[in-house]
Amino acid sequence: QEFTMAIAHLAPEDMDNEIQPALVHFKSLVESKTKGEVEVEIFGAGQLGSEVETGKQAQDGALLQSTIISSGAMSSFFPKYQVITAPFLFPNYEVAHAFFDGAWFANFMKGTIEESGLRYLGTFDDGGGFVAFTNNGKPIKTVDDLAGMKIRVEENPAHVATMKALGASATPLPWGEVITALSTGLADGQFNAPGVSKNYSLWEVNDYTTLSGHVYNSQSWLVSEEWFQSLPDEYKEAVVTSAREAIELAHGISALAAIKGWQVSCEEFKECYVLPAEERTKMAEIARPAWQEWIVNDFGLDAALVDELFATVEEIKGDVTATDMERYGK
Amino acid sequence: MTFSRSRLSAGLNRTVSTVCVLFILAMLAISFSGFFYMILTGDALSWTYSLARLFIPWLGLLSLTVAFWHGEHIAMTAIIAILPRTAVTVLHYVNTALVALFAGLLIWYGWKFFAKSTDIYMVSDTIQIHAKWVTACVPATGLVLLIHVLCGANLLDEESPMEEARELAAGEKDNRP
Amino acid sequence: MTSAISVFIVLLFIGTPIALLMALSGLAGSWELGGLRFIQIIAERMFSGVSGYLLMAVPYFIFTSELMNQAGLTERLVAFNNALLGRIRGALSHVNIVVSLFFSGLTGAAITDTVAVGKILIPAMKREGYTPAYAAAVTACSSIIGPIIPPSVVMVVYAAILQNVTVLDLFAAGILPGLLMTVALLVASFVMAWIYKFPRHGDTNLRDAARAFLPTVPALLVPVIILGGILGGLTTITEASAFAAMYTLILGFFVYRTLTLRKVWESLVATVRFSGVVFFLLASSTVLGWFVTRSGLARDAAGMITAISDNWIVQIGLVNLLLILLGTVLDVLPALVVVAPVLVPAMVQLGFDPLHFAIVMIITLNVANITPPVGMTLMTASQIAGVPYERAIVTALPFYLSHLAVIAVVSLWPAFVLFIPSLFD
Ligand code: NA
Ligand code: NA
Repeated sequence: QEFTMAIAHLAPEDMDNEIQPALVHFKSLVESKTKGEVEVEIFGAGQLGSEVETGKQAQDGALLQSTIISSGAMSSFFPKYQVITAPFLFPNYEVAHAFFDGAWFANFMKGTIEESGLRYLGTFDDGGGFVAFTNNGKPIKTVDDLAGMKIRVEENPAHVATMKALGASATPLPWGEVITALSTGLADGQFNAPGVSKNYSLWEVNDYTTLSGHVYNSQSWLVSEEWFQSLPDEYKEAVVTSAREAIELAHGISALAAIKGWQVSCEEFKECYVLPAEERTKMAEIARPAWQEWIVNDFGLDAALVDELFATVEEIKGDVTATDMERYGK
Repeated sequence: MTFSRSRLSAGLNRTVSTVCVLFILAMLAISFSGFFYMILTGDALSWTYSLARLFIPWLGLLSLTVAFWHGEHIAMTAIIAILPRTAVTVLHYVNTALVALFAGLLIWYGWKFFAKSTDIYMVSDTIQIHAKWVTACVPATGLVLLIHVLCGANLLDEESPMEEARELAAGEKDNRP
Repeated sequence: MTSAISVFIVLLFIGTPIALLMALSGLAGSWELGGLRFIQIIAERMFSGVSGYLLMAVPYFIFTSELMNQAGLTERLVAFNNALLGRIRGALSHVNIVVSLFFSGLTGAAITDTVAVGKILIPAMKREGYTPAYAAAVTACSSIIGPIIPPSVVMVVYAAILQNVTVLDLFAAGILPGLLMTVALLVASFVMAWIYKFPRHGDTNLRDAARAFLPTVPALLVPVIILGGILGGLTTITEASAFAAMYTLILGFFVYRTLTLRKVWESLVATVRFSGVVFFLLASSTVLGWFVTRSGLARDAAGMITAISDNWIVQIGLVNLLLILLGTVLDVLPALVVVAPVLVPAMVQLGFDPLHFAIVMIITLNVANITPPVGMTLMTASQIAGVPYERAIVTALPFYLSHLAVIAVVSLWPAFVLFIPSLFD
């Protein structure tokens, strides 16, 4: 073959997550479209290094051509990406998918090419996107229940700011320390997509779980711009179109992980609770302004970008609903 | 000439050792304030963890030159022991050249790695540190190692465990020139 | 693949430092795989190899152990054990083993542990009429209990590279196998004492033992603090190990009154040196490890194992054999860094418990310290004893057998390994 596209990701190399199966499908698409001239190699389970490390390896496309990294790592290559960590950004999957697959976001992500030589191919809904709290003490049913609770967050300043705004105390820890931290009380709780609760049996260390959806966990799929530009146009097309198809399949797979994860959570945790819409609104009204102040004043992002983001999501929400009703509701 | 050059190497090693000791003390101080803050307030200091770990690559790579300088490395010398003297000398030069090559690669590719670092460490919600501050340790380590080689420091003689035991017993293990 | 292997072998034989040869053979392989452009991996991997947050615990642990040495803890442990076991035939031999149970594993380089215990006990054993070869063998073979009983740098490194088990679980899982290893070595020691009519050390009574025990209590609390700090929910492993260092400092200054500022400075400088050894091996092994993964070898490992047999007992037996062979030419840490990322996912895929296999791997590779030709601990001990390395190897045979027995039990009986960790769930 002429070209090799080695892709790194952190998920296990089994079919229980959304990334590996999507990449397996991507591999067969690309290899058949290019008659094997572009060979795809998949390295899962963090074999080639952490997210930031594989991001660096992929930058000039020599060592590695592609990688999939979560929002914290993404922000270290493209600081503006922090804006996507806005709390309560999406009301549901339909809007989230329409946003990540829409024109505004594709254009926004062009920025990673200039800033770090990485081209954006698509977004995976990390383990199911919308997060659920898992915690000890008492079930989180209102924002007041979060007061004084020690919630583990990713080493991502946006999450720290959001948790502080909600009255919790944020404990940033790498994932490797989380189970220990929860079982020992260093942290009272954490939040992740329900699929994570299932994969790591978090009910063994936490009693309660609350589906709050205050954060949408995502992973960005990146490819080295230098390598991408070295491809003939037809191969570029094969890579891009196959990636988009793989992403579309992954949306469904991760939703399945979230549904399964939540079902098991309700069987295994002492109590499971879905935060009602009015309580989500209440939380959002507290978290949004605090987060906005942090990202503009402390993090130094342009306030106009934040407004533009919110406006875009609102617009998409309106469009999606209108289209749905137009096509199927009349 | 040789004398002053080896003095340069020894001085450099002492400086690097001291810098590493300061890194360890800084890390200890940071980890320890995190620990005490937790004990006293029951709360976590969010930045201690992320800050202390930034010292690890610096300490990790710089301390490698100290270990090298003191002959604290492991090699299989069983074959060497039975070779004639000239062969041993030749192999010594070969190995020294390999150390120099290694140092050169660290400088060359380490510099590129440093120059290319665009990512940012998010230490806390208000502190962000550019990765260049941390990745600079790669070419710096190569440079220290290369200076040792050029000064003719003997980086290849393993310290014999017997010697070390004697030094330990005498409590003077770090006073070698 | 071939260039990596040939560079590895050639450099091994011409006496190139192991850490250097790991990096250079990894680079040679990478060059063959992806051309000159792949050489740049050296910078990124050397950097990543020493970037893990867990690795903060390494200098803290080493500092603690250096302080304990400087504060005279080893002597106190030996005194206590002498008082306890003195009347038994072969007392010093048993003492040597039991002291190793309490001591060490903090430095990551087994050699320092051997030196600390060996410099006190080997001369004493020779004076009482043990052969130098036996004194060296028992010192070396028992000093490798250290990394199995928590706390342990080797386990920290394992958790830092693999990330599929927590340090806490590894620490908990190491306790029973470590005790078993002690018992197995004691059995060998008792049998040899009986056959060779080893001397007793001297009469003591339980009161003396109790009196000798008291001064060791604060020092024996160090592992308890580290484990208890994490288990009790007070802190993370890095902070617990920082606290252990501070505690030892206070102990040395105010309780034992044996530490001086000068000794603390010396401990710090020694910490830099020994951390350097660990970090050098880690960083450069990461280069070779990256090549092994990137070349696709790791992906095929599970397939290769299943191709030989479907039987899990045969599988783990084969893997153990491979690890022991590897351990003859490699030290524990480089072997771990290069092989674990290949073997562990394969074994987990084949259905082995990640924690169980982690302990099997650590215990089996740990024996590398005493197997020729590169058996650092045994080499060191025989030099201290002033006896040819080969003679110590022969004398150590009964201890090899007890280690093999432990490897067999740990490999074939997962529940034994997983029992203590299961108590924490
Ligand atoms: Na230990
Ligand atoms: Na060996």
